[in-house]
Amino acid sequence: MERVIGIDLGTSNSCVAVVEGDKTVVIPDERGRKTQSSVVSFFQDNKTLVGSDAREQMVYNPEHTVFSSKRLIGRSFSSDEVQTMIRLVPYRIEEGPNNSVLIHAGEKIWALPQLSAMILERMKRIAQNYLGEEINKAVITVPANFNEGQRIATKQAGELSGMNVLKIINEPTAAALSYGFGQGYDQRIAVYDFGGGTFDITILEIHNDIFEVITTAGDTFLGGDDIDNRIVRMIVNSYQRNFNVNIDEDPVALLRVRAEAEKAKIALSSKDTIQIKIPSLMYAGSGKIDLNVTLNRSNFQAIARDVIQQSFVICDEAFRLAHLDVSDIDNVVLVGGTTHIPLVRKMVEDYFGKQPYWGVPPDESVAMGAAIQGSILANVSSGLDEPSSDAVLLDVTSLSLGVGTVAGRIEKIIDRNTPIPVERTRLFTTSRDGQTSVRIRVYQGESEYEEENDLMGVLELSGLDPESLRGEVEIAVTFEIDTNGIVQVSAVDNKTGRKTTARIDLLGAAPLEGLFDYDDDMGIDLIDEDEA
Amino acid sequence: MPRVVILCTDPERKAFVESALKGLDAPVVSEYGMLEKEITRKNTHMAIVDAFGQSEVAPFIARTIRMSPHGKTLRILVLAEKAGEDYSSYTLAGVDEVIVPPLKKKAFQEAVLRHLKELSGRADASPPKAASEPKPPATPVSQKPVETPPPLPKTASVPPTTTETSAPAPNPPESPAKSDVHPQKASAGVDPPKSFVNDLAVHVRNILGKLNDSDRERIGDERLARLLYFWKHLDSIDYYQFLAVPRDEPVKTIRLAYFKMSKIYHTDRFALVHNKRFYEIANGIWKRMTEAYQVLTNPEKKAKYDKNLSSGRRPDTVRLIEKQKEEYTKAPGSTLKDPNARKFFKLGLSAFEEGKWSAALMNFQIAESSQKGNEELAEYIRKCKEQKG
Repeated sequence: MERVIGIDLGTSNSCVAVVEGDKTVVIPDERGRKTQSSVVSFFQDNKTLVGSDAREQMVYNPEHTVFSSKRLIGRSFSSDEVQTMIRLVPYRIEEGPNNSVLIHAGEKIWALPQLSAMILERMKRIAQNYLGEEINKAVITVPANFNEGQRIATKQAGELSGMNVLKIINEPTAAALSYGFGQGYDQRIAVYDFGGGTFDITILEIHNDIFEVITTAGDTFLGGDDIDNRIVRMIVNSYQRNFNVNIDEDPVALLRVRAEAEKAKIALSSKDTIQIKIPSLMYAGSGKIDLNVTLNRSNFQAIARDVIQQSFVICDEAFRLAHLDVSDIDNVVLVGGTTHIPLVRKMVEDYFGKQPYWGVPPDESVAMGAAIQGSILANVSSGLDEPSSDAVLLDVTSLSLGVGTVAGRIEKIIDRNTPIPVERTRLFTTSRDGQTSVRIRVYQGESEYEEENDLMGVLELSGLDPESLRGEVEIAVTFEIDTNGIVQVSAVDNKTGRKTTARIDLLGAAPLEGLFDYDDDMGIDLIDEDEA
Repeated sequence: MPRVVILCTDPERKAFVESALKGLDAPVVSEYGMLEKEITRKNTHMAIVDAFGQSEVAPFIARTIRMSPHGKTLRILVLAEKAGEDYSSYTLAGVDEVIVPPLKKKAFQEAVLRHLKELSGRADASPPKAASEPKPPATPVSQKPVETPPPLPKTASVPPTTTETSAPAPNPPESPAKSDVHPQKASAGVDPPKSFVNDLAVHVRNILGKLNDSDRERIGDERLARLLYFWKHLDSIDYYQFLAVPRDEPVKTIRLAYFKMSKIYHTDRFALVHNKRFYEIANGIWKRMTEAYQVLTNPEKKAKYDKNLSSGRRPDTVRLIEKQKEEYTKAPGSTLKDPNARKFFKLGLSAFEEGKWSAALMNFQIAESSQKGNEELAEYIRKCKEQKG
């Protein structure tokens, strides 16, 4: 039997699980921790720390500690998200070729997949230590609304970490698997996934171990971090007022505030009041000043409420798309660290009119679902009889795919929430006599206008017949989305039947080869746990 | 002596067949009942069905022969009524070869002999005309396949009459003539004809090249035969056949049928299969089943699809290709408003297309000075710089 591990590569935390016999086990590290911070820290002596250990070192090494890199992966440098991150984080984000994002840390330049690969490798090693065998196959999860570039980059990261990525699956679908696999349910459920960086709502139907996604909707920039940010803002503003000191100007101080803000958020789940204390936070005029703020639960809830409220706007949209009503849902499954906040659970209960399911820990259910999927992929019966133990995921594409046309308008080719795999063919033609190439801009997103969507890349059809008149050349371009949600494009010249060169340059993808010298270890030495 | 039974009602065709097969034990009968009696006799190798005057029922007849107790090992040939028809219903009924008019005596003889030779295990004759049929294997599976057939896939025992085997319908599918057929009970969709299953090794070689044992074991021969068969007939199998549902079933039934298929054909089932070509094929089939599910569960799309399909199964009717809008891509330079920018852009573009990168770059840069910040120009400038190196 082949072992396939499941990895939840999260914005803030990652988790690895495996199926052993008929149990799904979340694998703890050497110190018994079931999740790892998604953090990589580089040190001067070429040493690297990955995971929770790296996070513990963060405040001492802020400029060389990369966190929340999932917010950057697969994005183009000029995107709003990347520009926002540049303002928020102390490590150096730089522009690479092809509008890609590079990170300058530890005197080296890294592409995002390389950094994610380090986290994945750490998770792989945790699994190897636990299982006592080599692991080279994995299923990795991504947010449902990850686009093409983000999925490709994640897959690439998996491969860089020395694993064959059998499948990329969506986080909410994975959570649904860990909720319903082998339970014999016949239900319609909603997966409410509120993580550190993203929010997704997915409506699924489970029947005979078939998990069919009906609709998915989400926001890649709504998460628990937004609540942290608000606490940070509150502190920064209060210090500006009281001491006339701008914490924003000191990246180390800001990071310390951020770390404490997150701790306070977590503590307020069980306590009514929390004191945030940071001694000697900053120099101000004559000397160092301490941070000392009291936050009580009702203040915190006031801060958090409208961040959480935004999630229900997206839920409304999902129900509208599915032509369903909230009352059609049999059960609500909570996923993601932010759902630990009692207020979130309370508001979810109010919205859905029923108590959410709280069986599998929300930080672990995604990894567990990925492990279940991995085990299904590895142990398939080969007969034609319907194998009842084999579960199937029937997923959808979460983003519409379209091309730019006249006047900056988008012509949709594949609508979001279309079951995958799917292929659609469109005819394209030349607009001038003797035109030898056609350029087609391919977008992902829901807007009617080009500039409001993500430009996925430019498709170039070249080598067309120079003797042809305007409109004579007819190229059938087939867009395909596979079961990993990854897009493939092929083109055929309708007149000649010849395959035309269709090259799509993925915007924001850094050319990994040739740009960096990395070997199998990616040029890093992992510090042993003892040393750290 | 090999025995061939012919069902034929047209006197001219009868004369042709009799003279062509002179010397063989080849009785010609005019009714299905008589044919049935004939094929139960020992040592009958082949049934030929003349579709002349009965092309509507010929596929049903062929299917019934194939499904009869003795029909599994028979070679079944059809003499088509006329050229240019849709023959996919015959293929789906399990017919080994369709002989298309104009009928030529020599070609017909050769075809019959070739099938007989293949059956008797002396399969060295190269097929003279049926280029679409693969060569028989050099070493047949069995020396006496007529007497000892390899076991049939268990799912092959389906009721003989299904909508799947119907001839191209002259009536729209919702006509009452169709509604009395039995729903297919098989779990795995269209059954490949026996001969296809027997020649699986050949099809594997022709379609996949090589397939190693561990991959083959993972896929399973029954599933492999079906997938390859689907692949070969992707242009003539309709959505209903892919999902093995009769027409005019409620959405719920179609959905369950798709779910059933997903347990067998979803590409996840082949995640550990190394053969790339096979994976592509499996993906292609699964994509088509997913498309079938999408179209058949959408009343509007289904109506459109049924209407197209009622004219017969053809590459352009077995799929619902939504009306492809002709897409004039944005003409280069259409984002430029400034007349000066447009002028220099035009000059730049012609240089660009001739590969004169420096000249093109210069013109684009001049154009850019007239309309600053234009994305399209920036892209062309970048391209030129790239080309110049």
